[in-house]
Amino acid sequence: MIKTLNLKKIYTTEEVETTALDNVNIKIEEGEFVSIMGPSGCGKSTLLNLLGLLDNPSSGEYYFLEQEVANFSERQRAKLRKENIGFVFQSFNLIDELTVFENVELPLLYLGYSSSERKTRVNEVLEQMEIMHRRNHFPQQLSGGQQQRVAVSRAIVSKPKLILADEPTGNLDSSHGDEVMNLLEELNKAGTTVVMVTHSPTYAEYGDRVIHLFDGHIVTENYKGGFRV
Amino acid sequence: MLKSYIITAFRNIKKHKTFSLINILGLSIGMTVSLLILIFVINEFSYDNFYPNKDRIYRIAVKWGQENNIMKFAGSMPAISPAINDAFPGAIAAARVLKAYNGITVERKQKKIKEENACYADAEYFKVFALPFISGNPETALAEPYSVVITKSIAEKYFGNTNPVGETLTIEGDLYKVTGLINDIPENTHLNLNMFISYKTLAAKGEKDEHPWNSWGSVYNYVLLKDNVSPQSLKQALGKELEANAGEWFASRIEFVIQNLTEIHWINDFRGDSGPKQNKMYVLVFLIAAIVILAIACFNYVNLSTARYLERMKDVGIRKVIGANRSQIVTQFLIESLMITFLSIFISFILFQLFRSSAYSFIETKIILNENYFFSLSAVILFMIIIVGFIAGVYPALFLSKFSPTEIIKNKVVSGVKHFSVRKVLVVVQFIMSILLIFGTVVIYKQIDFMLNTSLGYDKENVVILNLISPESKNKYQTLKEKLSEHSGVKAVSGAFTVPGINSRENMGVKVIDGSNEDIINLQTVAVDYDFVKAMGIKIIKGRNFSEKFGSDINRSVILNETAVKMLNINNPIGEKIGMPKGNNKMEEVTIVGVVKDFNLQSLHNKITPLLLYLEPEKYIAMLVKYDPESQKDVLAYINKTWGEVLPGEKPNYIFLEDSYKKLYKSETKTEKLLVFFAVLAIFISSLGLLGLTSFAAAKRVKEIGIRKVLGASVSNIVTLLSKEFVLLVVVSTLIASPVAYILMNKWLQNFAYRININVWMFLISGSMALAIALFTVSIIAIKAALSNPINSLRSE
Repeated sequence: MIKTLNLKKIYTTEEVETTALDNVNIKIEEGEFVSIMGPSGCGKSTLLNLLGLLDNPSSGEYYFLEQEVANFSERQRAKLRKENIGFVFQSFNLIDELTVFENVELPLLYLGYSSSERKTRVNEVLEQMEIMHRRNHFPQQLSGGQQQRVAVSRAIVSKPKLILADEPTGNLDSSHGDEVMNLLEELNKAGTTVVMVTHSPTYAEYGDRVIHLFDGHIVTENYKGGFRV
Repeated sequence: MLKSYIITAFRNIKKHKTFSLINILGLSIGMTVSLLILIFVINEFSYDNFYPNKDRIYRIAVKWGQENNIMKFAGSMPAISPAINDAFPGAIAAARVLKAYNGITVERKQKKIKEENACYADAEYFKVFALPFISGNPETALAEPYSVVITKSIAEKYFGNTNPVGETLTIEGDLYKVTGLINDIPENTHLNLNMFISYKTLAAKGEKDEHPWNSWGSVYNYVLLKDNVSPQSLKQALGKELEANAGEWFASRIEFVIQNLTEIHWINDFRGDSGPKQNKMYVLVFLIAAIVILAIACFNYVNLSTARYLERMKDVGIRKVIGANRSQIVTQFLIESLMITFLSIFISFILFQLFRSSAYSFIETKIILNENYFFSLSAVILFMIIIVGFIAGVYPALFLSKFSPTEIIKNKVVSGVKHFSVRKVLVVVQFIMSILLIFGTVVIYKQIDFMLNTSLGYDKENVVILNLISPESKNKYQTLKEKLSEHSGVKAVSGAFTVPGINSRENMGVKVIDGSNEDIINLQTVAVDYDFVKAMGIKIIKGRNFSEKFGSDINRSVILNETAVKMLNINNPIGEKIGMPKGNNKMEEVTIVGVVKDFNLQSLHNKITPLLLYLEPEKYIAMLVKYDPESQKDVLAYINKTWGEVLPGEKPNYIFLEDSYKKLYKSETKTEKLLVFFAVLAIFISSLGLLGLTSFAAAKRVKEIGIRKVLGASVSNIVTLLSKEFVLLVVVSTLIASPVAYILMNKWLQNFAYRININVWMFLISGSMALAIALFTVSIIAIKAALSNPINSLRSE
């Protein structure tokens, strides 16, 4: 599903040039659950942004669903993104002015689903995430765990092939964190590819593979049942 | 999708109440003013636009005189239209209209009513103006004497619902046949008529010589030209016709002016014109003011929306991450601005309805409420929603939609958005506009003050002008004068042909007695009575005043002003003889008996003209009564009483000389009042914006303020910190606005022969006012921010 060759990302400001990712080569198959770990500033989020087509690499190749997308325009990336990728963030990133239902409905709106289809899909997902009873509430009226459940609902409502989660448990206590991780595991079991950035070694273990980043380089790839340097 | 946009927009408006309130308030005020002005402008431009052939219909007006002594008349020779119909192939038809100025009395059955909007019109009238007939034949309706075409409302008044065509009406005692019925003519015309009597009736009654080429004034001539026929060719043809019929001397002094029908409403300086008039410049100034006020309100929206980018970034970022493209984000923000606009226009429509009548009566305009009005109103509202919604919304939409979704993932603010250059520019533009308006007000105020208080060379206080309107009052002038002079409070009484504020002017070509025709100097001549100089308090600097002791003063003596003496180049004027034209334009010898100090009979728009005073009782159109200020009340009561005794049934029509003089500056006084209004509005809306911007700036820097306070910053340090930037912007605005204001107002001052100088203090006062208001506005927020407990702001971080 995902293949990168010598992926590089350099951020340039007026005074400093920072290499956030340096020659990263990754291959992720469909149905995998991959965790990415590393200290702050090692390039985890940058990698996730590139994989999620939110940004273009400075150099290197990126194949997403067999397509070279490294030089796609914002418009092309947006199209690919909305059809194939769901995002879950540490800070939930729900729109405060929209209700739970409307937040979850949003990706379907941009995909051009009809009103009745949207209603059915959103209700299904809210049931599945056990948040149906909160469908008319606004994000500020929910607990952190509930908000993240809504965020996950929004990420999966369009049935994406890939879910990218950037520290999804970072703002949650352990019980709510476990809850979210179980959700992601279930989704993965149902066939969705999951790539997750985390600081927590425990939650990283949910993945089939843990990639360790340091200073923009992959230093280790830790497979369940095996270890490769 | 649309529903989602609307819901989001609505919730955003509700959530950010202060922001929404500032925007809606600013836009509502701006839109109300614009709505009032746009309807006024549309109304003014609508005059005579409903006639189907309006672009090819012209009125033939006349200029009479030479060089500095030209008079303009809306009416022209009654011979013109028949001559065009006979001999000008470029015209489809021409028709004369003579308004019945004193009204006509119409009788039918028990009804006897004075109709004020009747006229005599040629048979070709309906060919020129193409007004559709409900009944009757437009070709022949006015072909015969004693026939009349009436409008629907006149028909209903006299005939109820029955068809009046073929029936009769008694007009001024004669029997007329109704030959046509037309719909009421819309009121937005310079020719507001409802009864058309055949022009031939005048000849049948023996009232008028039908075809004179040498007299003009009250008859209007209209012509409908064929396609592609230039009015210039008509002008040339008429010039030749005039020369052939009235002679070379006469023709050399007449110039025909061919006026398009739609322009007539804007023509102000032709005597004997018809219908309400408007000054195009005045309307354009209004239009610009409306655009300025609306622009200031739109700029507020732009500034406040972009200032909130931090709050909106999250929304934009999330939407982009989950698949929204830029155009979808732009649409969302445009819908939000359209909704704000829609709410604002709703409020402004209510305000418009509330203030409409007082606003229009203030600017002395009648807005014609017909179906066109409602159409215009709807069109203007729709236009404003679209234009304002779009203009105000498009920049914020483009600005806010440009954020990359990466920023939201990183939870970081784009560093490049620190400069807000567009916002600064807009604040500067807002204040430039406000300063221009303040400066304009200051200059106009000073100029009016100067005009009202400058010595004019005569004493305008304690003089009452009594208009001699009726022929009886003119005949009884001498009796009135004698009676009024008997009162001990009356100091002087004089008749005059020209007094300040009354539009009457006579000019004559005068020359030194042995000079040639080339030495003729055009002087303004004023027919006065013996006591004119005394009543007006004019100073005699050489010779003497007119006196009844000298029987020869009537017809033989004149008094000149200093400028006239200079222009005639006479060294020792007293006793000098000059030639002035008397009856039949023959030069007659008169003697200069006195020279008066220059005085300004006109407004200070004009330079003092060379002037000649002579005694000519038949020409008096007004009486001046100079009185003792202590007995003003008594004198006025005495005037009323005496007038009633001498002219039973008549009341005196009077005005104080001071007020009559003030009337000369009516347009300036009105402009000043309006500028004050616009300046207050502009500065208010700009300040509203500034209030919003400062509160956003304060909110954004809440942590910085907290840290500074913890480190020892005082309240004044914080206020300075927050105010500095905005104050600097207002200073920049003053610097930019000053030269522009100077150029604009200097140009305006060129309208006056006697004017004030633009001084540095005027710039200082305008800039300081803007600065003081801005500083006050910014301080409200800054002080509040500075007084807040730093612990709260730091904890919230």
